[in-house]
Amino acid sequence: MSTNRSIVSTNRSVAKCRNVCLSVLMGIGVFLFWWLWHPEALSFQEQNQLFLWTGNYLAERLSTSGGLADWLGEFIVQFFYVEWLGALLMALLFVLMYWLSVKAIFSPPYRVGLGVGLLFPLFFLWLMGDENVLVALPVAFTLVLAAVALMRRVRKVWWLPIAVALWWAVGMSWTTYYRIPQHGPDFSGWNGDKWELLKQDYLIRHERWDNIIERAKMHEVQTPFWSNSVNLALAMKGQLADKMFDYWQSGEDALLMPMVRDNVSNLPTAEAFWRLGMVNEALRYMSDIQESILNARKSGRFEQRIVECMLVNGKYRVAYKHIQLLKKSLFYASWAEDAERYLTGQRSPLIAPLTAKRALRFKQNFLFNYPEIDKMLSILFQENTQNKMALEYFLGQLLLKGDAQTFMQALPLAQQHGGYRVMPMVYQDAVSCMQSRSVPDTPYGRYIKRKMGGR
Amino acid sequence: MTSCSDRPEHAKAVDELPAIWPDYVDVTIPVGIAPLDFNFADEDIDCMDVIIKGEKGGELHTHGNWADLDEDDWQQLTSQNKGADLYVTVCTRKDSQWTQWRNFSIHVSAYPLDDYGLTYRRIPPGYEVGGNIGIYERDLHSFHERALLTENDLPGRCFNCHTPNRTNPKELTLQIRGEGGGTLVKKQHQQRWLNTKTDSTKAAGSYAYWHPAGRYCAYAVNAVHQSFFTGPDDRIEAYHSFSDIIVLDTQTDELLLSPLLQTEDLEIFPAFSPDGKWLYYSTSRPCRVPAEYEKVKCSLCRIGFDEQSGQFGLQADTLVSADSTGRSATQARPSYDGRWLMFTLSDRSNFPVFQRDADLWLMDLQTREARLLDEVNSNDVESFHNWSSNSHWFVFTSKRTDGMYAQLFLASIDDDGHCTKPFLLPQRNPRKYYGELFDSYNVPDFTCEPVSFDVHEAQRQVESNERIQVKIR
Repeated sequence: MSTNRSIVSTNRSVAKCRNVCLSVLMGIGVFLFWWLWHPEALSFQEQNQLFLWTGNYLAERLSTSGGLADWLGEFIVQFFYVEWLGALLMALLFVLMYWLSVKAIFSPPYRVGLGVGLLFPLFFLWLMGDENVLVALPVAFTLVLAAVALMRRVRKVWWLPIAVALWWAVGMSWTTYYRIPQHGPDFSGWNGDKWELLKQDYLIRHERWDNIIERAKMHEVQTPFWSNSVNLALAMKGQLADKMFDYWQSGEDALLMPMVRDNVSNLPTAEAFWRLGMVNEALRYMSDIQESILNARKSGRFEQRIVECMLVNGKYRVAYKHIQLLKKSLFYASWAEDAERYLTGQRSPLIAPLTAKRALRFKQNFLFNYPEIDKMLSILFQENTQNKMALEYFLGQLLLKGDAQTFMQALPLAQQHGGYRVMPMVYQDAVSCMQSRSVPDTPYGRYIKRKMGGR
Repeated sequence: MTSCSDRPEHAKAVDELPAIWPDYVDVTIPVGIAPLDFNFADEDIDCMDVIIKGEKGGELHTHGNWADLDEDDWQQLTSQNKGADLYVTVCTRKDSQWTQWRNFSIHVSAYPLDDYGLTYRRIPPGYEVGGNIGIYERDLHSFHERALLTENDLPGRCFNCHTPNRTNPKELTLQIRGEGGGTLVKKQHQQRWLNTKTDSTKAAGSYAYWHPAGRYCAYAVNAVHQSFFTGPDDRIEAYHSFSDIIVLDTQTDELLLSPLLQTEDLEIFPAFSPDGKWLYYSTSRPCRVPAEYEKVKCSLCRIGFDEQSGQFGLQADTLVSADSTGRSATQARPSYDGRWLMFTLSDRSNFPVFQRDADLWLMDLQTREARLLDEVNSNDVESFHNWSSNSHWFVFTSKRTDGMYAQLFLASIDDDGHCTKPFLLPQRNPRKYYGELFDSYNVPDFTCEPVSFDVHEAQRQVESNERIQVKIR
C-alpha cells in the first residue's frame, strides 16, 4: 500500500513539475509572441477601445450578460499601451487558461491533460490572428473553464447558481467577442499582408520612421495604405524628394487617400494630414476612423489626436469635454492633464508643438475637395513656405498625377524654398522623363509606364 | 470634493446670481417636468445647499455635490405652484466658507405640457460616418430614457427622420437610408416598409410630415451631401444636389405629385398646416454645389392641398422670400393651433444644422409678420424645432453649450407670441450626464404617449428586404 501511495505521489509530483514547466515555457512563448513578434496586434487592440476607470463604465458593461468578460477583456487591453506589460498579461491569461483547462477537463495525474490542455491557448492564439477577435473571448473561455473546474469541486446543488453567474459573466452573444456586429472570425491565422499593414500603422504611431522604410524594402504590400505609410516615413526622414519612386506607389492616392469608412484604412493619411498642418482634415479623418469602430468604442489614440486638433483650432469648450474623457483613462490621463493646462493658459508641454501646428494650418477657408488635393497642398505651402513637407507632398502629388506642366512650373519653388543643395533625385528623374521622347527605365519612368497601362 | 454633511452657517451673502449649470435662472417650466437638477459652474466647490420655496407654498431642500432634487417632492412643488414662481436659494461652500448667492426664480407656467415626452435621434457629431446612431424616447416627467431603435438593432444602417403625426406616435414614419433602405409607415400597430423611390422620383422619401388626418404623409426626395471646411471656424457644409416634395397616400401606397413641387428648384422640408389645407415648404434655386454653397438660399412657400381629391393648388405663395431677405428660411413648422409658423433663418443653406448663424424665427400667421426669437436664440446654431400638442411649448436643438454637440431646449409661448427663456432638457446630475454624452440630439419631437414600436418586427422586416413598391397616382 505504502509503495502504491508513494508511486501515486511521485506521479503527481512529476505531473505537477511537468505542468509547471509547460506553463512556464508556454508563458514565455506567449509573452515573446506578443512582445516581439506581434506588438502591432497589441497596439491595434488598444487603439480600438478606451477603458475608463469609472463606476459608470463598469456598471454599463455589467448591465448586460457577457459584460464581465467584456469589462475584464478591456481592462487587460488598456495595458497594451505598454507593450511588454500587455504581452505579460496575455501570457498570464493564457497560462491561466491552460491550468484551468487541465483542471476542468482532466483528472489527476493529468497525463493526457498536460498535452491536450495546450491546445486551447494555441487555438486562441491562432484565432486572434483575426484582429477583430476581442481579448474578451479568451477571457470568457477562461471564465468558463474556471466555472467548470469549480463545479467539479462543489456539490451539485451549487451548479445552477454557478451556471447563472457564468451566463451573466460570459453571456450568449457573439457581439461581445467580435468587433464587427453580426460577423465572426475569419480563421485566417496570422498570415497575410494585413498584419504587415497593421505593423506599418504601429510604427507610425510610435514614429519609428526608419523601421517603416526598412520593412518597406523587404515587404511590399501593394495598397494605398502601404504607399501612404512609406511616403509619410520618407517625408519625416527628409527622403521623400529623393526616394519616393524607389518604392511602389499606388497611384494618385499614394500620398493621401480619400475617405474610406473603416477603422484602419485612413490611419496613415490622417497622420500625414496632421503633420502637414491640415488640421481640419486630420480631425475629420480621425473622428470618422473612431466612429468606424463598429462595436461603438472610443479610442484613446484617436481621442488624443482629436483633442489636439480642437486645441489648435481654438475649440476649447468642446476640447475640454474630450479632455475630461481621457482623464478617466489610465494611460492618457497624464497627457489630458497637460492638455487641460494648455487650455487654461498654464505651462504645458503642448504649447510649443500646438503653436507650431497652428502656424502650418490653412489660413484661407475653403471647402476641401479631394480631386484637387494638389491645389490644396499648393495653397498650404504658399501660405507658409517654411512647410517643406507641404512642398514635397505638393510636388509629389503632381508627379503621381502626371501633371508635367504644373510640376515644371512649380519646380522653382523647390529650388527656392526646399533647401536642397542639389536637385532631389525624384525631381531630376521626373524632369528627365518629361524631357525625353520615350519613357526611360527609371523609378519615375516605371511609375508613369504603369500609370499609362504599360508594363 | 470633500465631505458635504454640514449645513450653511455664517454664510457670506453676495449680491450675485449663482453661476449654475445648466442656466436655469429665470426659466419657465411646465408643471410636472422632470426635476431641474443643476450643478455649480465652479467645480472646485466642496458642497452646495439649495432651498426652493414655492410662491404658493411648498418647499424643497437638497444638499450635496449638486442640486439633486427629489422627483416626487419636485412634482408636488411644481403642481402646487402652477402659474407662480419658485424661489431658489443657493449656498455653496468652498475652502470651509459658505457663500449665499442672490436668489433667483423659476417660473411655473400656467400652460400645461400634456405630452408624455420627447422622441429624438442621438448621433455622434462626426463627419461622414454616422457611428452609433439611435432613436430614443424620453419621459419628460422623469429622467427615464428608452432606446427605440439603435445600431445594435440594425447594425450599419443609417436611420433618421422619425416623425409622429402631431405628436401621436400611433402614426409614425421613419427612413433607413442607403442600400437595403426603406420607409417605415406605422399606423396603429401595423408596421409596413415601403420603397418610396420610383422611376419618376429621384430618391426615397425623407424629412417627413404627416397630414393631420393621417392618410397622407409628405416627404422630401433628395440627395444630401457634405463638404468640409479647411478653416477653423466652420466644420461642415451640408447641401442637397436635388430635392423635390412628394405626398404619400398611405391608404393606396400611391405618390401624389405636383409640378410645382417637382421643379428644377430644390423643394424641401414639407409641413402641412394643422387644418390640412396647406403644405408649407422651402425652396431654393439650383446652384452648382458645393462650389456655390454660399448662394443656396431658401424661400418659404406654401401650396394648397385638398384632402378629398389629393390635389395640390395651382400656384404657390411665398411667405418669406430669399430675394427679399437675402437669407435662407427652412424647416417651417406651423403650430398645431394654426396661430404661428416657426422656422429657421440662416445666411445660406438648405440644411441649417451646421450654420452657426441659424436662428429661430416666428411668423404670426394672421398678420404674416415674422420676428427673430431673441429670447430663445444664442450665438450658435438653433434648429430642428417642433411644437407640443397644445402648441404652448416647443423643443429645439441648440449648440450653444460647446459649439459642437446639439442639445435639446424647451420653451413656452403665450397667446401673444412671447416666448420664455428656454431650459436645457433636465438630467440627473446634468454636468456629469452631458459631460459624458458624446452624441448630438437631432430631430426632436414631442410624443403624446410612449411609442409602441416592435423593434424585433422592424429587424425582421428590414433584414428581409421586402418593401412595398409605391406607385405614382
